[in-house]
Amino acid sequence: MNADTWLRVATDGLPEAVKNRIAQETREHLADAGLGSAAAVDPVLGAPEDTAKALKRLYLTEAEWKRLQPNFWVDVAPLLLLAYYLFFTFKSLGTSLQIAALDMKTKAMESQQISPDLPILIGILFLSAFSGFSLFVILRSFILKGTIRRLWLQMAYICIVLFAAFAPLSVSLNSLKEGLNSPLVIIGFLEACVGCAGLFYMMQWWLQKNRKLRRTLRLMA
Amino acid sequence: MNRTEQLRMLVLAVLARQPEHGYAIAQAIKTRSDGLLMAREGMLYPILHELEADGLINSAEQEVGGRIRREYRLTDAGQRALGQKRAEWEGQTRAIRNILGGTV
Repeated sequence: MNADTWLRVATDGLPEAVKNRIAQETREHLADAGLGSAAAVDPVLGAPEDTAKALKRLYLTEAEWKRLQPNFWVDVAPLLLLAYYLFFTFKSLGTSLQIAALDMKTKAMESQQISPDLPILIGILFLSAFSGFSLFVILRSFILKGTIRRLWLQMAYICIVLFAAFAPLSVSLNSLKEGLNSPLVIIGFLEACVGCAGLFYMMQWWLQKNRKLRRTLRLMA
Repeated sequence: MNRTEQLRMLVLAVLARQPEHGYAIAQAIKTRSDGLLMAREGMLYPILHELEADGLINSAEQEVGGRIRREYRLTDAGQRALGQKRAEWEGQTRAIRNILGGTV
């Protein structure tokens, strides 16, 4: 395999800036090794597929890069997401607070206890934390520019999906009153496990993509 | 420590002596390991790029004999990371040597 073929396979699907830097360094390397353009380079450089795999772990691919480029829907998305959070998420948070207040009033009338149930408190804390974080992500995407902004928007989409997945959890929390063996509690527990695993993997995916984007942008600068 | 991490440590160790370009780094590793390490030199550049992105090394293009070459240099953070990796590696090899020495 000559240098051109090796480089084509090793940098296939990567942005132009990455291709150019790798090509320049590899050609210098081969010139130092005394290998001409027609010489077989794989005994020295190894399999190009291994290098391609390592480079794709390091940089965004061309397809990933294109998905982060300007587009009308991506640009209006922060406004739509903000509207979604202001109208639905905070409405839901408000409802939970009303339930908690009602619960406290009922308890006070019945037995002079004024603390709301723990499950309701957990539900409110969860909703507040999640809504606050999502709002932070959306507002941050207004401040940022270019591809970094689009990456933050992807995080906002993840928040929407996770919020939709976690929403029924508050029903399960309220069912804790019926005991731990209640089917709703078991379903809620399983859902929480799946949700936490999903959150963990999505955060990992997003952090990795963020690192790849920053490395790619550095080469493009 | 897997193979890629070992190679990262070796690259840092080579650059701790003096700034080098890619081919010289590969040759230094190959020569000092009696040809045992650095069999796939194409893997060197992704590792150099990763170390640079992590701030452990930096690079600059230089003209040498009419040719443009990229020279890599260890940073202060790279020096500290090398110290940590060296200690980690010595601990591991000491432990393995103790076990192997006991069975022979």
